Amino acid sequence: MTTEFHSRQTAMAAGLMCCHDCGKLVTADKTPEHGVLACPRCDASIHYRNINAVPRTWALILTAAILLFPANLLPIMRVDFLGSQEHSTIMDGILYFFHSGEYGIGLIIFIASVLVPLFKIIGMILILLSIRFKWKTWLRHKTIIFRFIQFVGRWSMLDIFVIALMSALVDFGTFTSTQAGPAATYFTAVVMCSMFAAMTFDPRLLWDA
Amino acid sequence: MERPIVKTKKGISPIWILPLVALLIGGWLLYKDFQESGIMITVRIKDANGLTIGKTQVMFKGLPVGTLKGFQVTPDLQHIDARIEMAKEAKEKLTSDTKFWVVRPEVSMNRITGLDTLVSGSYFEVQPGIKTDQSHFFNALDEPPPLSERVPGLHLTLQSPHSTSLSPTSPVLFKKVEVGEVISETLQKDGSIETKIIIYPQFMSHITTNSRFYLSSGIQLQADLPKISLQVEPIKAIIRGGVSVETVPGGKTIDDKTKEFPLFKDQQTAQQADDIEIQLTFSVDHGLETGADIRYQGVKIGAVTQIELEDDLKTVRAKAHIDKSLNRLLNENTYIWAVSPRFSLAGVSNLDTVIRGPYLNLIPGSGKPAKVFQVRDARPVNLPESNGLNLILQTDRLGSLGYDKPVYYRQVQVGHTTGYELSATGQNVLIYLNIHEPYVNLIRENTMFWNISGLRIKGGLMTSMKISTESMAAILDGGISFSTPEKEDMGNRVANGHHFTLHSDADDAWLNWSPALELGALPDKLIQEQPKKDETPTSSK
Repeated sequence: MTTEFHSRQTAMAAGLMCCHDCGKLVTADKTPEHGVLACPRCDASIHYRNINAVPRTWALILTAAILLFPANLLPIMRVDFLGSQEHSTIMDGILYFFHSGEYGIGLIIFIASVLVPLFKIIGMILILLSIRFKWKTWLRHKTIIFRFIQFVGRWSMLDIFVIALMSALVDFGTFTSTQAGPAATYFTAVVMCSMFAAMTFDPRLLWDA
Repeated sequence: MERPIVKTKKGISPIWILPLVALLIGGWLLYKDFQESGIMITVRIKDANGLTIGKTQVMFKGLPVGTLKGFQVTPDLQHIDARIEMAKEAKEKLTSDTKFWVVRPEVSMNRITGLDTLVSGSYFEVQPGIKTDQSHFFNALDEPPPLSERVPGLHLTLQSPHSTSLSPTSPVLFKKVEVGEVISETLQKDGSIETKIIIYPQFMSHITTNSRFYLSSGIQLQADLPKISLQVEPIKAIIRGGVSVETVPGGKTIDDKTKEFPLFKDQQTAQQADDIEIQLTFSVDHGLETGADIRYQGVKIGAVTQIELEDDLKTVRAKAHIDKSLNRLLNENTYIWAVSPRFSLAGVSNLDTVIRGPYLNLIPGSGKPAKVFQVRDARPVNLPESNGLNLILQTDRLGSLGYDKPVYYRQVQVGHTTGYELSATGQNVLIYLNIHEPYVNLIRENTMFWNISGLRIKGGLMTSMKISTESMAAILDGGISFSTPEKEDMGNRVANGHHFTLHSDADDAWLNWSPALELGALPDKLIQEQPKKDETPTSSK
């Protein structure tokens, strides 16, 4: 964690920190040698910035980036119809909707399953790079991006919801049944990793740089 | 102011395990993909109807073993090369004789196949080859190949000169149970049809060298007085045609894998397959028709199968089948004559033929085995019996005697006449008779025979009138009586074929003879002396 003081006055510079749980503002003159600081009101540990935020975010976002490949290349759903199996990847499903004229649904799935995860990962990497190289431009926009990433995280499980719903509803024995494919696991991992990355990251670090 | 000691963290954060795990997973997936990446092959097909790139699969026994990856039209625009990615495991099985074909739904009178393709779309089916040289280019078959010779079961080849109207998967029936199916049917160069069938393993024991195969297509009505039979095959066989098999007990098991059998056109011909075929020639029309019985001792032993006019347009030639176990009956001197209904003053004879139609009667004779026979118009002059004593009587007129008239000894029937004939010179009549087994000892050299037919009234108005009577049956039917002298006058025993004179009347003295003679069989010595005349029936014409 950086201890350099910025010309701009920050809470940290003023020796103030905020409890993440109850929001109590605490003055801490110095960091104790042993142990951690705790909120006097709710006993949650408090610190100026999220601990180890940057490396943790890096690790999680890289994990998400790697898992994005199997999530998109492997079949996410298997449909058995009268003995014939049909595997389809995420892109297959989107193309299916586009080919059958359902542009609206196709677009929603495309945005939720392809565009958003990609945007999240690229956005996070951009933010992390900007901290790493101390870029001081577009800080406000990067914050907006981060906020969006945080917000959209809970919605990016749309695909998994659809598959879970399908395999529960479309199950008529040998006639037809739907099952989740291996990509479903990887896709879930991508979403989770990127959500955790957004959680561990501390946007204040952008200004600390 | 004292500053806190800043401790630099050693090592890396454990969070970095996450991307490491992700990398491992990614690497493993890549490795697996590389491992499982299949072999690209090319299958030349006629058209790509119903085939979808990326979806159409290659199936083997219902399991996908490959996927269609792309199409390419051949430069001559005649065919389409389908690029297929086969599973890695299939690599060694992709030999040059591996067969590919496209399964499409087919609905015809014969069968409905490929029904699953209606929903799943067409697919490729593969049948691995047995050769060892590998290949990556295949020509797809137009039709599914016949069941491979490697399918367990008994593989047989049937040969038929007739059209068979069979198709692959037509059933093979044994007692109307489906025991196998037709694999293929091919027209040979010589115009005959070769049918390959398979008998399912569990039924293999029913097929022996004695099995006879015949076509069992449809419904057969046989209206044949006094029997009308209607045979209906299982509905499957009616629609698709079928082969039936019958097995006569006693055959050997088939060991040779490619045993050949003839395929008969119907059950009747199949049953006659083993029969002996004989040739018959006629000179007179007897009203015989195909299917007329051939009988021996009143039992049907065969049938006329074919009647045709000879080239000289006079004689009629027929073919007939005789049960194979009876070939002993067919010798040079075997006598065959046509029996047809006869109405005369003497009565109605052969009444059964009015309903059943004329038939042929057979009497076995001696000589070498023969296959060609002349059909006579009437029964043989003499039908010598194998048992008892056969004798010949000479008389100047036949009277009311004829075939099968009784021979009496003390008004007990001890024999019967077997035939009669005009002697060679025409001077008298020869009557053949047979004395039944236990009474043969009654006949001695000096035995006297007389005719007892009818009533005899002797005498005149002024003299005493004498009426000699025999039993009532003898009076009405006619017959022969005999008497043997007593003691040393009787003479020696006689052999078969001995000639006697038939007197028209009995001498009073003869009636008083009553020698003591033991009943019993004829000694072998006397049978052997049987003259040839008795064995060789000749025409009475």
